[in-house]
Amino acid sequence: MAFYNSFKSDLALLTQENFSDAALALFQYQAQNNIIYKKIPAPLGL
Amino acid sequence: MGCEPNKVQSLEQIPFLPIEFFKGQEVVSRAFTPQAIFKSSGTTQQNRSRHFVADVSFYKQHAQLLFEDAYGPLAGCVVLALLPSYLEQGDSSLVMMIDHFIKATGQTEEGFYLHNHNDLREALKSAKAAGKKVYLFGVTYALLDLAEEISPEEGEGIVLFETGGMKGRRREMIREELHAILSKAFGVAAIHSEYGMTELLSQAYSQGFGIFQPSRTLRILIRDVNDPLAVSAVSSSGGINVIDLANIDSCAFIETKDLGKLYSDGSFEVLGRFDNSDVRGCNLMVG
Repeated sequence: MAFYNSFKSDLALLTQENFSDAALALFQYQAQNNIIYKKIPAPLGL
Repeated sequence: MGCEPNKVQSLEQIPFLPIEFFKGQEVVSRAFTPQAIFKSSGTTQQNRSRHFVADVSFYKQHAQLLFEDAYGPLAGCVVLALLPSYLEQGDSSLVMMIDHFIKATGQTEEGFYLHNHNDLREALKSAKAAGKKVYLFGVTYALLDLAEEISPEEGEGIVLFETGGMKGRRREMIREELHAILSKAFGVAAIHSEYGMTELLSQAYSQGFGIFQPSRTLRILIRDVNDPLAVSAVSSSGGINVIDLANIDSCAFIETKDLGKLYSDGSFEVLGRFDNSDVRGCNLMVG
């Protein structure tokens, strides 16, 4: 959670200049955590 | 997709998640109990996208930060909203955002107006008489309805946001035609717009002519319409891929169904939608 908490709190300080570095760091975090896909049952009739 | 995350060293190498995953799947990057589930607008024939939100307070504060980056402090201003279809359908991230903006202004005027145009016009008149800056957010078809009643003198000086979407209530029209009608009716020089959607927690704003400025946590890349894995961060036209760094708990890298043009300074234009994609109307039919 260390990365998560610091990333979230630092978002307000982000600029377009350090956007790419932040995006790549977040990608590594999300890729390592594996985005979870849980199937959502569709409502009846759909 | 054969991607090895540790070999990704540039934004163009990142694999983007097709936005349709938000319809049938719960897209989350960690386990949490959602404080809210945002849902896209849609009809009974369509699955609505769902965005599971871990921290509603973060969403509201972040939306305010991005808005104030573009327009300045909300405190002391007046925000009015004409978003009937969003209010009626419920679970709208846009409604939650605007509701937060209204509270942030400290205004005494009612913020949301369903179909009562007269009350809205009275609030507008009162806010202008008090010398307050007025932001009016409206879904496109409702703004066109109001445009038939309001005079340019009543609207003059306000910042008018068209949030997109005819919702089947009026004929679709190109952006230039729509903005010309609204500009004339409301007496404003430019029509502002917000690029946002259920699947994103960040927004980008256009202060006229359909050109959106990237925000501190949202940037777009363009993908080749014939090869979704060919992504470019330089000036080009094609499918819009969004990087939204506020999507920490879901997925920050989304392949949308929007067509757009990216300019060299990072600003962008939404040109329309891919054929057969849902008509949801968040600026997106206006091309």
